[in-house]
Formats: sequence, structure tokens, C-alpha cells
Amino acid sequence: MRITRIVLITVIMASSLAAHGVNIFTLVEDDSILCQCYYNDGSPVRNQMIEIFRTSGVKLLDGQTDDAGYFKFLAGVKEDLKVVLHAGMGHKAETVIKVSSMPEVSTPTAGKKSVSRKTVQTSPETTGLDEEQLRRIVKEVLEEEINSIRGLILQQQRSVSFTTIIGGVGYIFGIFGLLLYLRRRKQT
Amino acid sequence: MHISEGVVAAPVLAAGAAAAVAGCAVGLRKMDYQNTPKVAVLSSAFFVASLVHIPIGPTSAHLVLNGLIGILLGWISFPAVLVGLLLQAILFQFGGITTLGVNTVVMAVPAIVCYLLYSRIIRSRYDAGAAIGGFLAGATGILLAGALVALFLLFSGEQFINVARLFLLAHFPVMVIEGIVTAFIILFLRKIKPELLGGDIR
Repeated sequence: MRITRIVLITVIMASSLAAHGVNIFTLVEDDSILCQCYYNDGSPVRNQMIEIFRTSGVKLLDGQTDDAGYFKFLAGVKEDLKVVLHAGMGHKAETVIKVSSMPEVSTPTAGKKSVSRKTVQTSPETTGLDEEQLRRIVKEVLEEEINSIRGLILQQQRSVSFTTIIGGVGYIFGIFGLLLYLRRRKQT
Repeated sequence: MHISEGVVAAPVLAAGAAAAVAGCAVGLRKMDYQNTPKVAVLSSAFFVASLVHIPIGPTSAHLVLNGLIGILLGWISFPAVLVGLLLQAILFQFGGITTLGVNTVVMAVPAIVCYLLYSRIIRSRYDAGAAIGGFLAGATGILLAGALVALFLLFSGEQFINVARLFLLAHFPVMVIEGIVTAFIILFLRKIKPELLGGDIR
């Protein structure tokens, strides 16, 4: 079935550090990793250098983002990867892709074993799917749904909201007001 | 135009912080009851201006208004810019806490240069002169800030000429827009509140 090919999509944002509004969203799809790079206003980071580092700090590979701000690469290794985006003129962002977010395609033996053990306990002839398989499918679908919602929430958090701007202006007046108050007290 | 965390080396950060502290000390000495509200208003204007994004080629740039701040505040630009940048760093993750000093220098030094260069022509009797002065102040503010960014990045490995050229290309439209905006604000202030431009600037 072709559906199974598209099931494992994981969106991770977790430890993405936004710096001057340059953001990296990473998307793990099967064994390739897609990095989407945006500025704070939502415009893509075009043709800028991106570097991937291994856990040991050794550079795995580097490349340039395309016109849509995307950069896709094959990980090849199963470990935490650090993505560093150099958007030029002092703009920089980095994020870490956790090993836990990578799909378990490279360890098929362990998966098979647990499936065969579970089949003994359930009755597969009624549904054609054993419990373990069903559980996995439900989990994958749920994860996909949750991740798309999570991405939306994170995007919303990142975009500058009007209330925050007003709040910031309020803080500034507060700081200068306090300064004025302290000075006046000192003088009297 | 903010420098992100982890881009420049620690000694550069320390030097920037020291310069920012010195500048703020001078600025705070010149700040009194009369001009504190003005400083607060301009600090907020600076804070908000950075959120007005203009997409340019591969990057995006925003209004800075540091030329205007320099003309109106002189040396007090330092504390005004510092407070604005601090809140941008905390609320929007623009720049960063460790690069606060460097970024303050990047924004405030051009402001003071604008003040020294153009405040006289802006206070002249002729509106045209003031408009030209305002335009030049806006453009110079961006130009010098860009040169300072390139200078700071020079210490962290990037080639000065490359960065400076890229920056100039990307920010030329911003310089023009900023110049026009500053000129209009100056003309407006001359009409409705001329004492903001003269008088208490020292």
C-alpha cells in the first residue's frame, strides 16, 4: 500500500532557537530530513548557507537553501544532529534534530519480533490486523494530526503579536517612569 | 540588522558592552525631568519601528529610525536604544541578551553621529534645509549602522568587503525609505512642536 509510505512524518521544532527572527523548522520524512527556513515575517530564507553537524561536533554536510527556503538531505546516521543556518549579516539560527524523532526504519528486526509475539495473544482473523499493528497505525495517524496542530501553534507563537508590541511599549514607559520616580525621590 | 547570539566572538561582545555602558552613562547624565518622557516615546518608536518589515531580495529589512532618534535625543540615544533593544531581545528574540551591548553600539553610535552632523541644518530657518537634513540623517543612520555590523562581523571571520557590499545592496532601499520617513517626521515636528528639535538638545 502506498499509504504506508507517507505515514511517518514527524515535525519537530522543540529546541529551535530563534535569533533575529530567523527560524528553522525541521521535518523528518522516512530517511531524509527537510529543513524549512523562514524569517520572522514568514518570508523564506533564500540561497543561504546551512550546515549540519554530528553530535561529536564534526560537520556532516553543508549546502544552500533553495528559493523556497528549503534544504533537504539524507541523514545516513542515527544520532542527534545540529542544524546551523547562516542567513548572512549577523543572522543565524540553529536547531537540534533529536534521534528520537527519526523513524525506526533502520531497525526492522526488533519491530518484527514484538509483532510476532503479540499475535499469539490476539485473534487476527476478525479484523485482519493484530493489536500491535492497529495500535501503530492509530498512533501514527494521531501523531501526524497532533504535529500539524503543534506546528500551527508554534508558528503562531513565533509571529509577533499586536498585544506583545503594545506590552513592550508599556514596559518602556514603565522603565522610564520608574527612572523618573527614582530620580525625583533622590532629589527631594 | 541585529547581530544574533553566537555570531561574534566574546572579546568583541565585551568591548561592545563596555562601550554601551559608557554611552549610557553619558546619556543618563544628560537626561532630566523635562526630556525623560521624550526619551520614553522615542525608545518605544524605535522598539516598534523594527517590526515594520520590508522584504528585499534574499533578506528582509526593517525601519530603524536611529537617525531620527539621534537628532531628537543626542547622547540620550544610548539609553533609549538600549531599552528598546532589550525588550526586542526579550519579547521577540531579535538580537539577544549577550549581543545587547554590540547592538546598542551599532544603533546608537550612528544616531549620535547624525546628531552631530545634521542637528544644525535641521534647526535652520528653511524647511527645505530641514527636509534635506532629515533625509540625510535617516540614510546616514542606516549606512553607519551597516558599516558597524560589517566591522563587528569582520572580527568573527566574515570578509568585511563582502558583508559591507551585501549590506549596502540590501539596505539601499531602506536608506531611501528611512530618509523619506525621517524627513517627513522632522518637517511635521517643526510645524507642531518645534521645541522638540531645539531647546533641550544639548
